Parts: sequence; C-alpha cells; structure tokens
Amino acid sequence: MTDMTGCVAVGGEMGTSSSKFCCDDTLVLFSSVVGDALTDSMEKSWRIMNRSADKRWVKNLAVFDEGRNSWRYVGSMTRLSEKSNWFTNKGLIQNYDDAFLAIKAGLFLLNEEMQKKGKPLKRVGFGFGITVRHGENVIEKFLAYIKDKLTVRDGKKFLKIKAKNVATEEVKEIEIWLDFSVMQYQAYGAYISILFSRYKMEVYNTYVIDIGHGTWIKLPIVDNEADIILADSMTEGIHTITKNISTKIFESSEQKFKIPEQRIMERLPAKDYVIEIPGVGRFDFGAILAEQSQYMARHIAERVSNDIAALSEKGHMIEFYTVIGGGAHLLYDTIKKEIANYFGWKNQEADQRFINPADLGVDPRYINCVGFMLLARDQIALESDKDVDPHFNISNVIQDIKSEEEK
Amino acid sequence: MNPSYLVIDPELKQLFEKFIKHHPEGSKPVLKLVLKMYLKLMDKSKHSGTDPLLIFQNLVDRIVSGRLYETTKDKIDHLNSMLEDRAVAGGGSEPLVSAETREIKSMIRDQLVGGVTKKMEDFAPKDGAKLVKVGAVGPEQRKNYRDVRKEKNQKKIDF
Repeated sequence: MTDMTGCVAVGGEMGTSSSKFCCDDTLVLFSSVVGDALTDSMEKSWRIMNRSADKRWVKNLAVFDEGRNSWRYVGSMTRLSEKSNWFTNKGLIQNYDDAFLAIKAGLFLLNEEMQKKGKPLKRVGFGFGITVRHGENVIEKFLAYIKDKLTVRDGKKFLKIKAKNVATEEVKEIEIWLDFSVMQYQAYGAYISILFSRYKMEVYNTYVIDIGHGTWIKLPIVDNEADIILADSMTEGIHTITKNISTKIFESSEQKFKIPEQRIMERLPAKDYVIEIPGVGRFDFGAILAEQSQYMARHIAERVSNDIAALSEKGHMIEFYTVIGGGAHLLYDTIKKEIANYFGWKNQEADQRFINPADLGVDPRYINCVGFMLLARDQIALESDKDVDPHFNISNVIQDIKSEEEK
Repeated sequence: MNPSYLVIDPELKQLFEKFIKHHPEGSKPVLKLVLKMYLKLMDKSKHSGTDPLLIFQNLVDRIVSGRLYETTKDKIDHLNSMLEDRAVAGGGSEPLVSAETREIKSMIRDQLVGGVTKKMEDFAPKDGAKLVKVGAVGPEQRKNYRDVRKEKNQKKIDF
C-alpha cells in the first residue's frame, strides 16, 4: 500500500481538433494548436485595440516555453500567431515541445478552475490517452521527455508552469507534483467510462468507434484489453465530410461560391444546414450532408464488419458497440443502422447493442477524457488498497471557443 | 448534335496514348471501360484521399502488361461493367460473358463453402434469442473489472 494522500486523478487527451483535460466535475477544452507570440510591442498594441469582453484565461492563454525561452500562444489565442502548429497530425504527435506545452496549458487551466472551488491541483495522478498509431514506445519516450523537464525536490517531481493572460497581462506561476501516469489507447477511455457506469464494473467485449475532426479510430476491446492488431486510426473524419460539402457547393455553383469548411462545421451541432450566400440567397446543404454522412458511415461499417469477421475467427464476439467523438452527433444513427443491417438486427436489438454516450450523461466529445480520469482514479484507489469510486458527473465545461448555447 | 469535350490533363493523356499504342484493336470499348473505372476511382479517391492518377496508372499498367485481372473481384467488376453497358444498350447478355460470370460465381461458391462466409453465417445472430443481454449472464460467470485489474495492471509510469 502506498500513501496517496492528496493525490487527485486528472484525465487528458490530445485530439486532432481539441485537447481535453478533466478533474472531478470540471473539464477544460481548447483547440489543439500552439503558435508563436507577438512581440512585446505588438502585443501591447493589440491589448489597446482589443475590444473583446472575453478576458478568460482559456481564451487568452500564453505559456512560457523554457526550451525556446519565449512565450507561446495556446488554443484560441493562436488567432494572433503568424505561425501555428497543431499538436497532432493524422493521429500522431508532431513535436514533443508543443505536446508538452499542451499538457502544461491543460493542467494550468484545470488548476485555475479547481482553485475557484478551493481544490487546487497539488499532487496529480495523470491518466493519458495515447494515439493508436504511436504505440507504447513512443509515448514512453514522450513521458521520459516530460520527466527530464520536471524539478526534483525531496524525491518528488514537480512541473512548473508559467502562464500569461495576454488580454489582461496577468502572469501566474504554479507548481504541480506529478506523481504517476497511466496510459491507454485513446478510445479505451470511452470503454472505461462505460465500464464504470453502464456495465457496473462487469467486463463486456466492446467495440469503440471514435470519430474526430481529422481522424477516426476503431478499437475493439476483448476481455478488458484493446486488440492492438485490429485497432487503427484512419485519416478521415468530420473534416472529410465538410471538405467534400464545400467542394460540392463550389462545383455545383459553377465555381462561384467557396464556403469555408468552418462555416459548415459550426452549423452541424445545431442541425442547421442552411447557409446564407451573400447576394445569392440561402443554400441548404442538408441533402449533400446526408449523402456524405451515409458514404462515410458505410465505409466505417465495412471496416467494422471486417474486424468482426476477424474476431469471430479467433472465437471472440463483440457484445456492445459505441460511437464517440465530435462526429458521433452526426454519424451515430447512420453507423448504428449500417451495422444493424449487417447483422440483420431489428431496431430493438440494435438499441440494445449500441451504447449512446449521451445516455450516460456525458458528451461523446469528452467521454474518453473522463475515462482516463477514471483510470487514474482507479490506480490511486488500487495503490491505496481502497475501492474506486465509479461515479462521474461533468458539470463544469470550460472551452476556449464558446458554444452556441454559451453565447 | 452539340459537340462535347473531355478535358484531360497531360499525364492522363500520355497514359491514354500509351494504352492505344499497345492495344489498337479494342481501344474504343476498353477505353470506355477504363474511363468509367477512372471516374469511379476519382469519386472513391475524394473520400479516401488517395491519388486517382496513381491508381489509374497502375490500372493501365496492368492492362498494358496483359494482367488485367489481379483478383477475382477485378474480373467480376469488369464483367459487371460490360453487362451494365449491354443492358443500357438494350441488348441481351452475350453468351460468353454469361458463361464466364456463371463460372466465376460457382468458383466463389466453392471457395466459400466452409470458408469465411460460412463462419460469418454461423456467427451472425439471426434472432434476439442468440444475443447476449446485459445481466443475462450471471455475475458469477462474468468477469469483474476489480478482479481483472488486480491480475493485470494498467501501464503505469512513475514520474
């Protein structure tokens, strides 16, 4: 038994579009991008001209990069960066320095929120989602890289974070004791969330389909373990659909109107598929969206059915399926229908087989992150020789780009 | 009749020329088929992000080298396209094509009996009674995560 006094569980995941970090009932979410800072004088000029009322840390964050000895903007703040880098590309971490900065940013923002509740992060056990394509070795190297950057005191490893709110010019320095990290494949987080809630800790073979912005991941879990032979990450996602819609509008309008993908993307969550084209009128892309979604869902279902055949040859059977990630809102029903057709299931059987994250009270975009927090919580409980608390309830979500409801 | 034009890029044009040079005898119907396949590839590539020209080049290389069908599926696709063309034209299927299709279909059937399809048929649940329901298996039979995690720990790294 280890003394884990004061150690809190934090979950983290770096997605192709957004990074998520959560602790307790709080989750922070920011764009997975880091960029160069403006010069001091430019930054000062911007501050004078800035009329935005949104002065939150998450919207205006800069983190000090010791390696470069300079400030770097993170998430939404990179709107001012001349050069920006995404943390991941095609499901792979691009650069250790940038990924490390993402972790610092996530822990800093989470600490800000937890501090408001009187529970600042002091000692942390970190559950971390690793990309399917990287494999354990690369992530071990990345964590070894982080280890090297920590300050050692009394045998404990501390992560120092210096951050600046560019809008208010406030600078804060914090220190967090990083105790341990548990790692699992990204989509495994969703399985843990379902295991702790719906399955009530009983092990069921589950197939997780995680549809993100730029990639989709398939992860079969058999006997509580990810099948890494069949697990894969494909460079298609919601971006593929919106890109195709944008191209179709461009082509069908005799190359007159180029609608930015972002404008299409923004309308998806609200199911508002009508776009105003200045000087021309309103364009309903609902039919194209349905066609593109159907195409992608069929493609995914085809890959899944191949895996089911491969698993059946090994004598395994998948008991439940789930569709998570930012694309779940759009593709959940279509994928469910396609897989149900494959098996010849009636509606009732399909309803029984498919688990909708929304039914568990958690958004499909961050169910993975919640799972990694639970994984870390479980590790703390295991080392303390206690039973893990399986409950979760994310009620405080902080985003750099506010959702339509928040606006 | 209004004239219509097909705009092709120089590389594609070069490939066509290469093909016509090697197969002058059947260039028109085969070229039509190749163009149809190219358009299908274009559509597929839009979704998969692959380069249609590269795939098309491989296709033409296969035709030029006389290895048109690398797989049975290639052959089926080709025959289906020919049948479709004939159906559109209003003619019946050519006896030779029908015979080839029948032959391939029977080959596939022979191959699949006892193969993957048979296994899939056995595996695919046909009714609700065969599906495992949550809670249907007694807790004593189903593994519990609390026990599993003690047997096999998660990958942990101490900082």
